Amino acid sequence: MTTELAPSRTSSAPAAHSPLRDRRVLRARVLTLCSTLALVVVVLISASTGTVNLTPIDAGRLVLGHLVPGLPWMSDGSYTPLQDQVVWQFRLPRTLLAALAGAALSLAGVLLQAVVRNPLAEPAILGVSAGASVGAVSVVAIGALGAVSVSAAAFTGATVAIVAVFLAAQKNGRIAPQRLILAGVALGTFFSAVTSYLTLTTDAQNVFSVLFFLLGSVSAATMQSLVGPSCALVVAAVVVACTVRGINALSAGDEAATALGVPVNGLRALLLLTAALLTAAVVSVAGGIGFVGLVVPHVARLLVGADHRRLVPLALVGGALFLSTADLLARTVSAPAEVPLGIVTAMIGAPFFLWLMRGQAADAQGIGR
Amino acid sequence: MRLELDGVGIVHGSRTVVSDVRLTVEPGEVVGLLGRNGCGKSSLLRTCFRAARPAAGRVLLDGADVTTLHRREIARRVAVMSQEPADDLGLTVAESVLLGRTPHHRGFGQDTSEDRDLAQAAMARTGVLHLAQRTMPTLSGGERQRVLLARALTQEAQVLVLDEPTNHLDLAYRFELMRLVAEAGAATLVALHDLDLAMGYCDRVAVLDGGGLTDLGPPEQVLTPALVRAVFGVEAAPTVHPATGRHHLLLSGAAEPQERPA
Repeated sequence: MTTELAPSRTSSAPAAHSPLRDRRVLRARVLTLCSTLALVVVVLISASTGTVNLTPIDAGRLVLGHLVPGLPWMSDGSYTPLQDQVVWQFRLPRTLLAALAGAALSLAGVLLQAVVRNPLAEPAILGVSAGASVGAVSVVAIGALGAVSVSAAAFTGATVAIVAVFLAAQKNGRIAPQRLILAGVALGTFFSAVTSYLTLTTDAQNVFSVLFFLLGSVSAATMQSLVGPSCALVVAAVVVACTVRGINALSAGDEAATALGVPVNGLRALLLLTAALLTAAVVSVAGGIGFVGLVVPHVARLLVGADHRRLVPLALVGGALFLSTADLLARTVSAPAEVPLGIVTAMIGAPFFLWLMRGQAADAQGIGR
Repeated sequence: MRLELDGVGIVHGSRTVVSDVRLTVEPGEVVGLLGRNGCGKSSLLRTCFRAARPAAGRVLLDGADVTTLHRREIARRVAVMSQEPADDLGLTVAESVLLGRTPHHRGFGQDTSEDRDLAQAAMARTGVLHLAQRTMPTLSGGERQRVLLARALTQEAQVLVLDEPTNHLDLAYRFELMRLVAEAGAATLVALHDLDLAMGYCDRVAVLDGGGLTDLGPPEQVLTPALVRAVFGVEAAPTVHPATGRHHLLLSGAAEPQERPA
């Protein structure tokens, strides 16, 4: 065994032959860039698809026209007011909401999986979605729709759930990962029972809107509904950017992370709150869209590894791409009828994930154990 | 840097595990912490980097109480190899070693070439450079220990705290690891089960028994047959290696655990 120090490289030398060089750094950049481009394409296709038909390029021009003042095609009669309206007021908000929801849910999944060090973690295990459902469904069931909006009620429900899970999971101010999962599952089950009871006892005419919320949908999106998820994403991005090395260290274990100078308890609480905020912001406007927060983080990790400096950007863009594509399918496969988004994400997501899970990369990530 | 335990006591629930431990580890010195299972070795080590607060007493780094230091400042001074179950999410070996640079950086930035040079040098020393792109869940127990030592070396701390670092290691690496630790030149406090290894590589040993620090000194003076029998319940015969002149202990079972003579 050699004890000689490796010859040191000067800082300007290329890292091409270093055994520490990771080709996934380049792969992550390429994948993130390609996914971003694909996302733009999907958003434009989605904005142009429907009964009022347009080309994606037309849709792009209309969107650009709203963002940049004074473009000629907005005022020279190239597009009818109806065309302008369907793109800017209906299709764009909905596809953007799908993208934002996908990005937010998959970031929440990344954070939760890192924080509890459990590959099963996803936004739903915190009980936040279930709490939001209770809020939303009670408004529908009680018939208080005029007084309170479904979003506001869902957000309130989500907040109550977060507080309850935190209180149940903490002991002496410390949040233990296992206790958090168990508390989240238990409270989630409780909230689901309440939702089921409300659904069964409400008028038959309400059941459809209840189910639509539970399965998730972005069909009611307006530009206004983008505000919540956008704000949550900005906050979360700042938190992650400031703590990303600590998040990496957490995956080495609590004690190891402590020894590396990471305030483990504080960081865990901060990241859980961030994940809960992301989930609540999405659930309150788009309902319980499942599966994105579980699968997209895993797929991203299989592709570029577990370093969060590579993983987080790809998971954000990947989640956005996945959900906006799923929404495009949800409203086209059986048009003019719509399939709830949660059904589509599970139908394409699950087989793809099962296939990926059997590969070698999955074993290296510890999924095979 | 000097590590000093000043009257440290450990309490688990209502049970006092150890009390009033006084021990100073000088720069460049390797001090072995010996004792039976459950005697408080790991707990004492955990107070050195504030993973736990002592119930009594203080832990000082060059005279500064660790409870007054920021976590990041502690991590720049103290590197740790602990006994913790394996990573669940798959960092590669290289990434895992580079985690040693965590206390030296903030924010989203990539690792610098200086970081990578340090990590690479540490990995070459512990013999894990060829594993660089393997993920942690695929390693054997011994490979993992060597990766953890590489991480601790990459941390560039002047104090090393090691909890059973030779667990799972092949015989050859057991000696190699202790030699690397001694060569690192840090003030080192290491919990060990292997008395012969302690004899060979520690400048001094500290023996924990009956809720306190009972003996402290050079291993060949402390680890007498009477002490080994009383504390560890085995028979020991000290001997000197005919070729190297080093002190060794020949150990055999059989003796019944006894109360230690007062």
